Amino acid sequence: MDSAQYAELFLTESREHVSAINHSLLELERGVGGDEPVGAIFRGVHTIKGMSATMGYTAVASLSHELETLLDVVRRGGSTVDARLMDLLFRAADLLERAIESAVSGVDAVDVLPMIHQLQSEAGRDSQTFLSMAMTAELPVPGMGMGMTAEMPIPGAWTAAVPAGPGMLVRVRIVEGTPLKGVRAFLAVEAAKKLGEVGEVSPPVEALQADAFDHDFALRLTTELSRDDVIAALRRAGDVDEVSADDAAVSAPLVEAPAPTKATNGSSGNGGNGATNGGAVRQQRSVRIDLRRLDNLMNLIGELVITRGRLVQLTGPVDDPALAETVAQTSRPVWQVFDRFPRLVRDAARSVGKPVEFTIEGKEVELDRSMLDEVGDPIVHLLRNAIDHGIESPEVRREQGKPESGRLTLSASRDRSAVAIRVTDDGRGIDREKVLQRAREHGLIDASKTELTDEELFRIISQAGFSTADKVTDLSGRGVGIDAVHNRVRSLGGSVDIRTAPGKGTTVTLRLPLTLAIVRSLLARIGDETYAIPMTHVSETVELHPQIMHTLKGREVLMIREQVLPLIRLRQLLHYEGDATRGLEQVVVVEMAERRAALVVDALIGQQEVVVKQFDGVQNGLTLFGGATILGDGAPALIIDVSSLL
Amino acid sequence: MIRSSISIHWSTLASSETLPESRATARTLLFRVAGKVYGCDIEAVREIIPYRRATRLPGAPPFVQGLVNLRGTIVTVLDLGARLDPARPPIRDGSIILAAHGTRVVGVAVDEVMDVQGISEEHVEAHGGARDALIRGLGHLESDVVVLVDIHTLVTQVLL
Repeated sequence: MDSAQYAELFLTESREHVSAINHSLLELERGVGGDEPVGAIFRGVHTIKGMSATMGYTAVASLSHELETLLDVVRRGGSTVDARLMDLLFRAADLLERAIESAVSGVDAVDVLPMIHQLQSEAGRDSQTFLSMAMTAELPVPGMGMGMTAEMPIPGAWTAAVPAGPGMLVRVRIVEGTPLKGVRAFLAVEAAKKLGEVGEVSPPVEALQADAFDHDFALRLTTELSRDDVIAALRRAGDVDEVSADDAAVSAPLVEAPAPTKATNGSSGNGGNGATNGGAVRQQRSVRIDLRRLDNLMNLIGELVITRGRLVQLTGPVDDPALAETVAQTSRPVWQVFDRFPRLVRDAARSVGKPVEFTIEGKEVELDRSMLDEVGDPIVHLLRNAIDHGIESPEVRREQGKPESGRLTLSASRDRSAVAIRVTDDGRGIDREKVLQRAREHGLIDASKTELTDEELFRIISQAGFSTADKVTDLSGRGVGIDAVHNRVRSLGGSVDIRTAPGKGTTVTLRLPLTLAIVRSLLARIGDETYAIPMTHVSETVELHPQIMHTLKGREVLMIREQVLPLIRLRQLLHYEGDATRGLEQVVVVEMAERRAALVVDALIGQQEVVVKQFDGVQNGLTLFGGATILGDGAPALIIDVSSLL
Repeated sequence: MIRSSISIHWSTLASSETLPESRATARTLLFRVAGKVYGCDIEAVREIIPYRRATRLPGAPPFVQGLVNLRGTIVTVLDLGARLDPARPPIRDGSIILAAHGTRVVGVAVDEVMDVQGISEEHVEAHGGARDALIRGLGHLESDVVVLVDIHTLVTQVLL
């Protein structure tokens, strides 16, 4: 097999499996889910083993093999799950991940031998089997309690468990990379039924149809036909890569193989588990569609494409690489980044000796791929902050009548055209007194101030180098705090909001636009320039009639439906001289979180999708802009960053 | 006196790297701002475009004209005239020299781009104690003296 062609696929899939393994390890450690976590880890490791053996990644295959053997011992109750074992399993999972990355990239070769010896001694076996296996890379080796037959065709091992029952053992491998492999497998089973009586199929037919198998499956066939006839008949089933069959006489029913059978059962139809199991979420999903509907859809799309072509012709060639790039971008569910956090939180919480209950909500919410890559670090930052500073030690929590375990929640949700990512803890909250004191020391605020609003608090702690941590720990307190998060999120066109209550906890909300590059905006004229205001934050527009204007405590405010909104005259803010010339000025009501304001502009031009571009900031310039865009006439227009106005 | 009507020789610009100049000779782009001739190292110059109106950047210093669209990239344009003498009216015609500084590109508006000339080091009068760090020194040509400006200093003084 051409490895390069499949290496990327292997990497992607393995990463998902490693992530699922970590997820299950955490469950196992918490002792929830009964036998399921071990089973899930076993399945993940098993799949990685199969894939890596096929790819010829011997180190990964050997390591996963030993890990699998140990897991088998654990599952059979041969080893108690204690902290020491968990530690070993976590380390093995980490090493497995590193070995996978290095096998694919071909750099930083990882030495798996020491870990293999540890796993072996834990599983109570000697190291002979490994050595012979590593040499030949034939997997799996028979006689290791994995329910595999001794039959080892090369390349690629048969991964399906041996079905019980009488009859000829027939194994079929579907061509790798075939779309709808489940359908192919089903057809092969149907073909087998024509040859004789089909006994047990492994994995079961339902699992096959759901694509929940590793390209190969096995079945028992009672037939008059010879071995060669069966092989030849099944080969004709289409997209069948390889078929093996043994004579019924030779293969007396083998010992039942609980492990892989269970594995395939578990990953196939068990919907109840699927919802909670991290691994199940990322299974490819397919739906059956009536062919007529599909044809109809194709026709509609065809018409759309033609219409688009006409429009392009009418409006002239679209020659904007950023636009093309954006169209090619796709959104990704946040779990692709979130899934590594449970492990991270566990490790961080252990290192400071605080039990933490971590929940993730809204895994399915999607975010622009490039943004997703960028947002991981800020979230890590917030999680670490919460564990290190937010959540109190168990003793303190007990004294305050809180549950000993701190609660930490990471959630993602969509509202309008933004995605809100929240990190919430039930810890002590940000110490306003301490922030106030530090802020006075640093001269960040008026020394006479005695109270801070959430906004002021945020403004202060988001300044570079500000930290209230009394000591620098491994986790945080190095003075690279909220400001780093704030900068990163701002550079993505988003905003940060902090709510904190003493003794009750802190919630940090990151609001991110759905895509980086295209933002639906309201274009407004101020002076002789055009400005863009992202529609995300626009709630309504009204004309500035004198009767809705009032003065409150010396400030201009607007009364709209009993609501009092502070009036911000962009003309003044942006240093334009004089007054708007013609007609009534327009008001754009903007909102973010619970804050609202009324922006006064000269005139409204209309709505438009604009492509956001960054520009180099100028020293002493206003930080009111979230980028610029290029208008239809080719002139740049500034995009107003509403979060900086509120 | 340098003829102010000489336009730039594109062929010499394009092949500046391959010309067998001695190391001590800096190829200098000459341009005019408010009647005076200035020069800058051509190595920093990426491109020269006709002047175009920039979108104002509120709050920026007066010599920042604003933003222009360079084939889809947003470039900040500085007004060299206003930078050297705040009393001067803004440049509204002429050329914009696009200079590269690291990965960033900045536009410098000038009244007119004139010529490229090699100025050997012995003809450069260092201007160590200049009031303005922007001025590197004076370059002596056969019949004229040009003020040499340092584009990199200009960029780092202005951009974040």
